[in-house]
Amino acid sequence: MSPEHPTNDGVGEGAARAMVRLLCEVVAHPGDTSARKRHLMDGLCALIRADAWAWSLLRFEKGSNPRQVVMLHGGFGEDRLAKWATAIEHPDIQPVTGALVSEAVTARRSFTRQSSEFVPPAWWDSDSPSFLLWQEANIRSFLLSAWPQRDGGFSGIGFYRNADRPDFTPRECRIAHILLSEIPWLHQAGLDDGDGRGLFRLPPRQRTTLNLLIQGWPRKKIATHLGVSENTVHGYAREVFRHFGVRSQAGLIARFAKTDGYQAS
Amino acid sequence: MTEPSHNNNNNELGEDDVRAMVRILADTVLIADAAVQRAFVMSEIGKLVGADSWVWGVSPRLEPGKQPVYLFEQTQGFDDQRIGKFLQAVDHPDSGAMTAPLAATMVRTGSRVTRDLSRIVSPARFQTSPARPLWEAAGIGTLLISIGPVPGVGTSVAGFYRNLGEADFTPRETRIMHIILTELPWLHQADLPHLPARGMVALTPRQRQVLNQLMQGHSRKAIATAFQLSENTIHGYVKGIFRQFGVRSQVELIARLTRGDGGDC
Repeated sequence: MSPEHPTNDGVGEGAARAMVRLLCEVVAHPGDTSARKRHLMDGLCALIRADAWAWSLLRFEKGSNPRQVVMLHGGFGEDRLAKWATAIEHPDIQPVTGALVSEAVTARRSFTRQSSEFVPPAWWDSDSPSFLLWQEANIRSFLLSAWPQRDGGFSGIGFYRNADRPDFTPRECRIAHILLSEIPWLHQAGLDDGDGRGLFRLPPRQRTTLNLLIQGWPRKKIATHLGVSENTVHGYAREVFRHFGVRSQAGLIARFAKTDGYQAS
Repeated sequence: MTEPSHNNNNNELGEDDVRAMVRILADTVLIADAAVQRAFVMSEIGKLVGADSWVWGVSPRLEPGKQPVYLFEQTQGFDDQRIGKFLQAVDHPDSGAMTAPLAATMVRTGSRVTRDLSRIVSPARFQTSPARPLWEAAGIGTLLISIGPVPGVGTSVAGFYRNLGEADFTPRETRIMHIILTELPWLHQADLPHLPARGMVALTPRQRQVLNQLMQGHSRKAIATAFQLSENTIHGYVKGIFRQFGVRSQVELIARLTRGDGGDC
């Protein structure tokens, strides 16, 4: 690695070069769009020393929790991802996400924020159920970039650090923001970029079930995670399948691997 | 870094530079064909550094002390007449002598070297070079050359040119070029002229100039006009070239040298 020659914007020549190198690797990557996204996100994760990342499609409405469907992720492990995804949808997380949601709804433009900028410090000491889930997911600092999509929703890319790690530095935020803002296809869901509106018509429980089903979880495990009976999960899964016009979990996963869940009509 | 002496304030990259490089590469990811990708990258970085024209090719022989041999695969910004003049300027023995230190550095370090005109020769040396009138006739005022070893093939050569009367490329522009060309190894390998290109070394300088013209798809008549020679003389050169590569037509020649069709030479 070359020595850091700070540029006039403080990203540093070493980082500039690492970013270009990462993109060059992606250009040469033989895989499909998902594989290239994954390579890019893993690389960016390493560049800013994050432990995990997730790319989601998001809906923001004032006064309610962000609704999300996780499209790709890395570094979490499935249990942590499930806990984190459930925390995000928990009603009492409003103090954390409220400011972000209203910024997104009002401005409808892209932004990159790190957790220390908007999470009220008191939340980290609270005993709210969402924070406890957050803790179980072993996450503390995070960096979130949101990008408005044509269909009214947002593409959200988050980078997360384990609970024992310090906050991201402004330089690391900058690197993430530069890369994420110059690569439009990173935020597109699938090659044909269909209309994601219907994705968010599912009730919260069904959406959580959807998130877990596309991660490949068996229904029994989903039932345990949600604290409901397997029968109830069967009911949710049936509704999810009907919603997306598929007959099985395999069909659902295949659909999400290629598009945002809706066949091009 | 191969050129530590160039690390001064003038070559610092700003955030705008990094963004521009990332943007070009992000767009390149969406192109399927390697030759089209290369043309796109070359054309976009050419614009980024303010070049009026560029060439990309390989050299099966680039040794200090010997007249270099080039095969130019892709060019932009030259019309038929100018490319003829350009090839004559490149093939002038003093052009080879002036670029010898560049080749020597590449051979010594085993890695890519990128320099603008003022770092290749002193202005006085260039002004008085017997090759200078040829460069002037080709309408080229200043240049930026990047050469790097490609194992098994020879040397990958990229030249960026500005018209007469324009300022030299800056160290910052040289740096941008160096980083992208270094970090994109496939750019120099994908779709390369195959081993038959080695047969070029056995050709006379005039035959090599004619070969480069034939590779651009020019007719013998156009070549005769460009070199101010009779069509008959060009026929003689072409016959020698075809014999060297064991082909019977210009189409076969281009296929052999770009795709390696047919036998070895």
